[in-house]
Amino acid sequence: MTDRTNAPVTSRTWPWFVMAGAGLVTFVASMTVAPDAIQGQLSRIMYVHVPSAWLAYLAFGITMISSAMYLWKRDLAWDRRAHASAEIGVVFTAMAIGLGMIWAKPTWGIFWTWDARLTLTAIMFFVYLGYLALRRTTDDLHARARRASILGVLAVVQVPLVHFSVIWWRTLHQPPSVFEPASPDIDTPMLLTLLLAVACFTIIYASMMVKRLELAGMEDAILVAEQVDDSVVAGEAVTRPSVEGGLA
Amino acid sequence: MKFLAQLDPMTTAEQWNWVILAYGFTVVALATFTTSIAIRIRRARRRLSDEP
Repeated sequence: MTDRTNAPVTSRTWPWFVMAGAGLVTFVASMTVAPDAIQGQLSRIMYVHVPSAWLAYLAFGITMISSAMYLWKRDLAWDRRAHASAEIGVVFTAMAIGLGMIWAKPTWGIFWTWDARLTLTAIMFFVYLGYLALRRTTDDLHARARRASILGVLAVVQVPLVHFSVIWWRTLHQPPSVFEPASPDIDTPMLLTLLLAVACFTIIYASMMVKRLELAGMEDAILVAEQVDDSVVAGEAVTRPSVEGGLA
Repeated sequence: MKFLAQLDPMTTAEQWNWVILAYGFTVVALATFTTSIAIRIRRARRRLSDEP
């Protein structure tokens, strides 16, 4: 097992500027591209809704890989990557749901319906909220990492379920426009703008990961320092018992 | 409950209102989350520097 906390000494500022730049590029591109012939200006919502959904998939995929790596290597650095990615994934899942609702009201006439895609996305959101809650049940770094990693590996099964739900079931949500088996059912300028928005959002995700990992390293360092303080000040007699998988 | 075919035709200005709402929601969500990271980093740094 590895207990490296990797608390950084210096703080990186470049991710904030990269995030702002990528956000600005997305905004300018999605506001200048021609509107859709049928949906009109409402199609512009797609340039933030689709990248948010893509990032939810990517973030939870990274959580799964990092969780599997922790279970294999028992290195807490992998657990911190899983945690950081899951937290960012929850934010982007909430954004995908919220933006979808804003698009649905003027297009379908309703904010929400119990459609397979919408329902499965909501379930995925709550499962990963549960992942974040599970991490708060113990201060034992390895017990926490082990529990979270098992859920992190299992929960990713929802990603293909959400993505293919529009093909496997008859849903109100439209089928994929970009990754269609035959050819993309979308005009080239709109497709290029969408791909640019996806690339910019991916850059935003990577920059967020840099800062969130910086925070995760410091949070673990604080937790370790607090546990050391307890044993130094109070001595062996009142040191909190280290119960495998609980209480400690 | 009305669906697209039953809805009254939406003007371009009305469509822009929904677009502004969506982009406003996006900006607020991203800004809130990144600010929360920045605040938590600042607090953690302060706590680490307080350690003896």
